[in-house]
Amino acid sequence: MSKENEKTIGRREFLSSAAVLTATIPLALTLTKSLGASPLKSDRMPGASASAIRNVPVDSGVGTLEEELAKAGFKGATKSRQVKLRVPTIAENGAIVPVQVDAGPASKVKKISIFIDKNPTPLAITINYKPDNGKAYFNARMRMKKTSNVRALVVMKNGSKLYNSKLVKVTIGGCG
Amino acid sequence: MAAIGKSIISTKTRGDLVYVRTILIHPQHTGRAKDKKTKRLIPELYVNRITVKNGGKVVTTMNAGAALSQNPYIEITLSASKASRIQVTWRDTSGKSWNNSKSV
Amino acid sequence: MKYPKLTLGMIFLGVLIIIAFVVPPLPAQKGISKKDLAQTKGGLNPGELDKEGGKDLFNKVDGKAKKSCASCHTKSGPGKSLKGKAATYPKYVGMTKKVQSLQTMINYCRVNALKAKKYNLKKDKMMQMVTYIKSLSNGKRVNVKVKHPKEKAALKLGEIVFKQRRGQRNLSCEICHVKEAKKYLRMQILKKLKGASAHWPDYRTKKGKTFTIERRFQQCMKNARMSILKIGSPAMIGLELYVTKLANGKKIKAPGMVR
Repeated sequence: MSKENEKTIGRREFLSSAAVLTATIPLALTLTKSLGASPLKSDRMPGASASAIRNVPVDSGVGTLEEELAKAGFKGATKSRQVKLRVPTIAENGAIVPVQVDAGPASKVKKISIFIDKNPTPLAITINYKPDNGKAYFNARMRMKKTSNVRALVVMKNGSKLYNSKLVKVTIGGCG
Repeated sequence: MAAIGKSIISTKTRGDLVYVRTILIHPQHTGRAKDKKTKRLIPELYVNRITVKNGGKVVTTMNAGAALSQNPYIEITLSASKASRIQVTWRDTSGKSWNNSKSV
Repeated sequence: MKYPKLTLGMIFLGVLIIIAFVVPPLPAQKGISKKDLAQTKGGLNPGELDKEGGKDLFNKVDGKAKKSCASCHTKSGPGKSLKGKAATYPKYVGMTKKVQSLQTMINYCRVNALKAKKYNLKKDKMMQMVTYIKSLSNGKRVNVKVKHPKEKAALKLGEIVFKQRRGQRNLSCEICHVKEAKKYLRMQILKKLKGASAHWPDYRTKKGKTFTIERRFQQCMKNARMSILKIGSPAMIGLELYVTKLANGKKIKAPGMVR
């Protein structure tokens, strides 16, 4: 029967093919689980080398992200959890996004630079520290134009550079 | 709203650190927003330099772009054993500057 | 019985259909978490500067009688201290024979006691004065009583304004803030107005200014495409009385900070 007519098959062949199909269900489920893991934890960031940093074009002739990072000495910085960067996952209002940076004792830190990648001027603020500060701590409210990474670059007195970055989602907000 | 240039300094000692919080009333125009009535771009006017002095000596300096939000708020720390009289100076792109000080 | 041949293509299609219908949608974050909100509202509040501005206005000598508010409103003075008084407003004030909100009462005092001009109900001076007087009741609990027949009438009017569906979108305050409360509107939660009145006047971060609760009502009405009621009108005073009564028992902490 299956030899004569290729479009239709017998009951047994149909049942065995259906069994194969059913067996793929657990495979499909595990696939979606791994794809859907924490969509908000996209902490992924372009690598530290300048060539991997994407060139974000801006509208009015102020430095691009790549230029500003290079000027601030981002090249060769390593990502480190020692730089405690605290930002909200979702910003209620893009005009008021709290950014908190804590980089350990101030005697070891020279300066901290904060970048907001997709702003027209990515370099937001630079703070120069002295040992009298006690702790290299900074907390402020910033403006963000759209959803983007917020990076904190810490330049130590011994020349080493550490950074940390997190993604902040900027929403339109409810009524008004 | 309160007049431009008014500011508050508040200090809180926790352990061996003094947390200095300060806020300034300032419109922080980025130069990219349009006036709703005249439809023209509002010229930029934002705080670009903040200096914190302790007992007359400069402790912290900050160079900022237009990214600080309206009525900018800043918080830094000082070593509690060394903190005496804190003075904060804000300067904006037009050259105007405002001072405020507080003794710990 | 003849069955269709299950080719590889059909198996692939079947897998996709299973993913689409059987697997539940990925959980998305509904709105801003409490931790993030706490971080946003932390820090100094620019509304504090309006409180200080209000204090200056309170102490300023103004008007033909050459007095300031502070001349009468002292502990032993004829006006008595204003500490804790804002917690009972809006209320019926015997000497005016009307139900007054804080703002209308301030203007009554200015016209009759100071012999000065009224403050414009929409502008900053009134907002600073209200912020200062409300802050004198910080720590006390909202205590609005409805006993006098005029107060009862105002409460009833406020309830009607709260529940009446009006405007282009056929919305009422009740729909968003009672019936659909606790749901999310573009990542922002719709709040039940339980303790709202206790922290107004608030600094609105979106506008970069402090506003009184009646001004916020007007801004809400504009967003909901309803016709805007006039500040100081009986309908607005009734609405303020209704919303403040919902906050009875909550501790006052003015000025606050909201979006």
